Amino acid sequence: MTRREEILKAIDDFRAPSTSAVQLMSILRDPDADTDKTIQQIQYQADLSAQLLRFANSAAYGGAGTIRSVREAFVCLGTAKILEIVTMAFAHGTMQAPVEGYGLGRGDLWEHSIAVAITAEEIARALKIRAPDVTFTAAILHDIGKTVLGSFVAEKIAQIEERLLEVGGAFDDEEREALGVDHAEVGAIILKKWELPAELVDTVRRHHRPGHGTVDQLTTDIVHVADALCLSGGLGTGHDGLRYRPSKSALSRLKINIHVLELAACEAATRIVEVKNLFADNKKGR
Amino acid sequence: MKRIVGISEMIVSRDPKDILITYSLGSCIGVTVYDPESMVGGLIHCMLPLSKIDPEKARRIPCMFVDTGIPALLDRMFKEGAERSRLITKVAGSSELMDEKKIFKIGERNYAVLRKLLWKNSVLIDAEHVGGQISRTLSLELATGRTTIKSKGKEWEL
Repeated sequence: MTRREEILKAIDDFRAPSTSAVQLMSILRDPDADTDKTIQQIQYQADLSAQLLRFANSAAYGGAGTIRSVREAFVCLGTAKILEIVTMAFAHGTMQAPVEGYGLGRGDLWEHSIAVAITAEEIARALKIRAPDVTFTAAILHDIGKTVLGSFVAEKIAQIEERLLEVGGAFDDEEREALGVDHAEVGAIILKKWELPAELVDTVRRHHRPGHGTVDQLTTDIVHVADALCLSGGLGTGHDGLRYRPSKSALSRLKINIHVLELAACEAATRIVEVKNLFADNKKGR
Repeated sequence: MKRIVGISEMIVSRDPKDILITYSLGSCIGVTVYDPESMVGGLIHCMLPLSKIDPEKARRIPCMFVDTGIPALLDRMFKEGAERSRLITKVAGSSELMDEKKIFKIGERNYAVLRKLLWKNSVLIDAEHVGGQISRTLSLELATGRTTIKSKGKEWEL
């Protein structure tokens, strides 16, 4: 078996910790889905319902503390915001563990994920454009491949580090060199297996190399720049550090300048802390 | 006691048992100041160079920005009994992505504004470890003034 085949096998063995959460993410994206059924599905999951109500009532989501049921949350927040919260809760379960190979400690990958999702929204706001609905979910899930690829990266980290010094490439280039696949592609394969929509899968696949001709170019560009901005700020960096290349084409398509980056970083920073605190409070409450 | 300085925060202390530490400095800038006579020390973690991007936020969270954070840090140091002429000042951070177009120059701007501000305040930088593509952890021991940087599993004195 080649290294790539071994990794594909590991992806096959990797299960979503909660298949119902993955189902829920698909249903919430479907405009024809039956809202009553969706509400029931959430109500059956006590943890998720509790988290949803906490978020719906928080200042971060403009809540007034008066939302008492999942149904009221749907009415007040709308499906798009409910999807955001469900995705964050899902990521909190899946991406909390330390990731060996990348040198990420407990909670680091999850924090990076919500940081990129919130930063993506703030980049769109700073550019005065509307981010496609899929952006938040794609941003949360963009690095899910690291959870599977981490142990393979760990085996090769000495070789990768050596080449980073000698060749001076980007970290994802060296993943492909050492393993035949990078964390972005691994993430895309996982999400495809979970039957998530094509624009989501492709955004995750191309988040370090948005280039041209992606399924959803705007989403891919926004997630790419948001990821770069968070990595630049040191959020979620481990052994890879800041060894990533912002894409020239994505930057010029979005007309990104330093003012947009600093404004988005400034606005995102306080929101990231708010969301982190919401999840932290949740743990203390138990 | 190990005391963690978060992003956009600072701590000034005169407790010799304290170790001030801040994690994951990328383009952000971390500054330690220490007065060996009065044994007052401080650490700040600033994210962005200039507060004019959101002046209202700068009033609530002055340490988010270099231009409001550094004066706040020095002010607190002097109130705790530090003397300007004795300050030992060390700087870490200001990393950059592999950005050919030089659009993500937050690190470079943080450093430029910091230098200018310290100069205006007659404070010299005694040591620094800035730039490159690494993320750094910076810490200051109040008992000794020992300042260390940790990156990629290696730790050294600054």
